[in-house]
Amino acid sequence: MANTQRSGTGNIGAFLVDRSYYVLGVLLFLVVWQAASMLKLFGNDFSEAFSPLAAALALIEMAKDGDIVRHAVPSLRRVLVSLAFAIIVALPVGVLVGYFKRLEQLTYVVFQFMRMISPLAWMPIAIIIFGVGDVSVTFLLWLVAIWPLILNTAHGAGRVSPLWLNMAKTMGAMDAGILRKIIIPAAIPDMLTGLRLAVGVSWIILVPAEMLGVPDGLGYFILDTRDRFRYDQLIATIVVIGAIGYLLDSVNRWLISKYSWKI
Amino acid sequence: MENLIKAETMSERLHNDGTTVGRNTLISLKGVSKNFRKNGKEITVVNDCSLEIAENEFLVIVGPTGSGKSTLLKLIAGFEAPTTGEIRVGGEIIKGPGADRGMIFQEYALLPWRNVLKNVELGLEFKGSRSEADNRAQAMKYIDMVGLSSAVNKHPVELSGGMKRRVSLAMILVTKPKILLMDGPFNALDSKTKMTLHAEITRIWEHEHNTIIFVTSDLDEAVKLGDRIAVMNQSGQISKIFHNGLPRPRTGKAALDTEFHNRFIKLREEVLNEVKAGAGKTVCEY
Repeated sequence: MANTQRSGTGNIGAFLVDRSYYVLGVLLFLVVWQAASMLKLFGNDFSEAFSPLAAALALIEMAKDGDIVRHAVPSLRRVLVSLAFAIIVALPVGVLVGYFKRLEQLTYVVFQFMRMISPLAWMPIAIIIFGVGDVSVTFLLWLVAIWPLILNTAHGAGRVSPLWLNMAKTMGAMDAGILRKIIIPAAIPDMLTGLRLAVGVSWIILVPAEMLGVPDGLGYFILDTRDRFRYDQLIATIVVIGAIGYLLDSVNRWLISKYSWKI
Repeated sequence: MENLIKAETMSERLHNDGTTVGRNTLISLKGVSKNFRKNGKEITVVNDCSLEIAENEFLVIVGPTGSGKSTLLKLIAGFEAPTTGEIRVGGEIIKGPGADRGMIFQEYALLPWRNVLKNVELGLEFKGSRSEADNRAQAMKYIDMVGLSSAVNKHPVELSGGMKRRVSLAMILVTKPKILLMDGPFNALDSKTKMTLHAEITRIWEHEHNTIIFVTSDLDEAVKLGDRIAVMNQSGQISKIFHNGLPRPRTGKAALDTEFHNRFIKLREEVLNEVKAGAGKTVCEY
């Protein structure tokens, strides 16, 4: 936002200059990284495998033999399925909690308490209930995604101006109409903020969750490369994890800029 | 058609002699009081108000700050329940807000995520049943009426205060309420915008035959618009109701007439004295 303001003259030149600084930042990072590995800063044994050049070669190799797709797809599937379930539960709960003050008071302590527990702490319980595998991982990701969604949606629904409600009532609106036309649209910017936070934290929790007994996924592959002493592939997998996370967040930022309203 | 002619002659009669004789009472207040609890003390904001308002009447309520005129309007709208007394609309005691009484609030209540057209369509969406194209045509008609056809695609954040007022007006008018309750709708507008909106609201009222209750603290506005002017005092009572016999139209060329001007000033003076008398110790804003 601040950036687009700065280039507010609107000409393409200023825009390109702005963009070029972003690219320059990435290039500088790669140069420093490559220099560090050439200076053996990561130790004599590992520095070569830890370099961005080695990672790039490993990345090409993994793309060719299908390792990236084989492990990125299950990871994305787990995150998206758990997000879908989280949205189904969190949006109605959030709207109700945000709209009814008593419900907010009833749930406040419990929700804030639950929010602070790492979902990995639930891992043994998830395995007892669902067994080792996909369902447990999805459950853990669901558990981490619902809190930002619920709390942000509730915040949005609570922000509904009493003026809008009075106006709707003087137009003869019923509760369902008020919910559909006023409360939900009013809460959308906060829902999207909640979604962005949920995606971010799900993607972060995904990696350790996939280290707990599933046969595929990027988190699994991290351990696999370590066991095969393929540290170049390990770094390449980290790059893939970061890149997919960045893309997911970009989609969310785009959604927020498209569907947010300003007062 | 016959109904229309009948209504016209009736308003003619009302405008000339300032009475409501022969017209149906639409709204009646009987001994209406409203108490609020403030800092542990019970205060009476509206005090034993009785009032009858005829169909298609334009009633203006004036009074010093804190005289309860806004509260009286909220009571009629149904947002507050009277502590004592009863309010009837068309013979029925009111229970809460309803689409028959469209209220235009002092603050803007436009939905920031909708453009002007979509804001005006809101009330029609609540009613359901009609098609999208039909809603659009209806909304456009009223957007046109308030002079905003060039701004249909703008969002509230892009509109000036006066434009937002016009949108609020169109949002309520499009739902065709029998009764329009207007709580200082033109406060804080510049005098030019105010004058335009006075002409517009008068035209709409003459055209749609609504019944209007209009709260204001601007006495020029009161005399310009009202068939009757009710004055509330510091104790929350209606101290006096003036009949405004000034002929319409009251804007433009007509206002330049000396005879009209003198009558206008005289009535304004009388209302002012009544407001001052009822203002008690509080600072009078007039």
